[in-house]
Amino acid sequence: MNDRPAIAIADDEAITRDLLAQALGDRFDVRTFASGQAVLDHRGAHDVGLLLLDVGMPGLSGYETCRALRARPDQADVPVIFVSVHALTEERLLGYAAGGNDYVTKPFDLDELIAKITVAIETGRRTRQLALDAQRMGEAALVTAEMMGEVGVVLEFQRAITGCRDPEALADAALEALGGFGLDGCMRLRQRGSSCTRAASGAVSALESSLLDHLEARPDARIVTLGTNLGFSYGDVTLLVRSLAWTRSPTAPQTVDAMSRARDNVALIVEGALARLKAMADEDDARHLVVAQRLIAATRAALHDLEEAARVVHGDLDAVFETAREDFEYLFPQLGLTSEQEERLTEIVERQRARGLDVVARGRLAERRLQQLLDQMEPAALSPARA
Amino acid sequence: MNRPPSVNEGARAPGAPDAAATAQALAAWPAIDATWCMRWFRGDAIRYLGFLIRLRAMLEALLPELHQAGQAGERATLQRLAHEIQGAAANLGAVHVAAAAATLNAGPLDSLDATTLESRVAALSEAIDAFGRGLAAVEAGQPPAAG
Repeated sequence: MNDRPAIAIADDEAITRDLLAQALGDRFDVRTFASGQAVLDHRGAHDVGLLLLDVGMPGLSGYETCRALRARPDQADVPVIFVSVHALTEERLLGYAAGGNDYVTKPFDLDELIAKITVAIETGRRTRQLALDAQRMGEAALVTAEMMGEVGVVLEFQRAITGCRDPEALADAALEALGGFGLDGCMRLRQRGSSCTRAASGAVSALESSLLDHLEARPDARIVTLGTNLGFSYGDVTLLVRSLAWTRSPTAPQTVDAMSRARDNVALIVEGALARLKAMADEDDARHLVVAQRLIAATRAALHDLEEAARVVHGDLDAVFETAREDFEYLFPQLGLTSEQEERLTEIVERQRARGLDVVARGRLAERRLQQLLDQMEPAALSPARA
Repeated sequence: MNRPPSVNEGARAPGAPDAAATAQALAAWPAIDATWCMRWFRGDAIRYLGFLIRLRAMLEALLPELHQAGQAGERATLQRLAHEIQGAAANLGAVHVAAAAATLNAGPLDSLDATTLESRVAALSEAIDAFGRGLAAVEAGQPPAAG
């Protein structure tokens, strides 16, 4: 394998051409051309590390050849050294204006010429490497900017779902985020036995609905290719992305990279939706808990009121019968009853008092039962079982 | 695309001087800068001689055109020929020929009077002739005459 740098020599004079070729041939892979046009016509001209170009040639001059070379994207950065019998500064300036990198005059000094060629080749190599690096950095910057934009879509979705209070709003937010990646699809969310299915655009077709069913039946599959679509199955959240076929194409690596990122970002959205769905269930439970605790507290207060009322009724009833007994005792002397009759009346009053107080006491049995129920409800309310 | 030349066959033809004698003869020839030019051939006098023979053939081929253009006063043709001769001769160390060609090639020839032009053409022609004579002497293994 020839590892010498390739250089091209264009000179209409055969002796000069051959002189240069034989003198430089042991250091460089020399290719010679009899005219500027021959250089331009040569298909491999962009492979050479340097072009040694005679200025005064019939047809295209060296300057014209250089300008034509510089206009070609694949040869624009090939270093050019002009060769001329003219040593005037004006001639040299014309050479630089034409795009030349250096200028040597005949007769050449061999060592100087070799040094100039070597430096120009190295400079050209570094220039090409720098251009390549700059191009790669530019591409990397573009990809980074794209990625930042994509991350922005995901972050915006995460921010938006904190305000979602129901599955419908959550599905709409997820599908809107899909739109941020230029994608659309349909999503199904399940919560407490019920489900909602939403589409980014249009209605969910029967086929898409069946595909969502299929995805739901495979909750561990996570990501599934379904024809030209891509399915995501994350338990209570299933998503069908339209036209995101997961096919690797070695001829379009950038497309593959973009698709790979799209898949990862959509997965983030699905995971975010799943987390928010669970959080919504927790928030729902928390709301129910608060309501239950408030009801228990209100019931306890009412029970307390009932107990107070029962105590008052008990006291009042006892007082009524006590008054009745005293009234009877006051009237006994005036009624002329026998002692036996007075005792019978007094017994009647006392018996009725006892019955009345017993009725009140039985009513308080219900209160105590209610108290027991409240005592049982309160721990359950503090740690509710999910429906 | 042309390939780099092979070793010049003329320089190695039977009867040609040997390398040491050729190098000595070239070094003694005042019309060429052999010391400087031999570096181009990494000291290979035979190879250098081969190129000088090619130069002579080239000059002899151009000489009739040079005479004709000189007689007709075709200044553009003269300048083109002088340019071509100057470049080839200078690179091979033929300093007298190169200098005469450079004189003819210097500046716009349109401003030169016919006499000056003729004298420059004659000087170049004489330098070419002298080069041919000197080279013939080197090929014969004899020291070339001065000039």
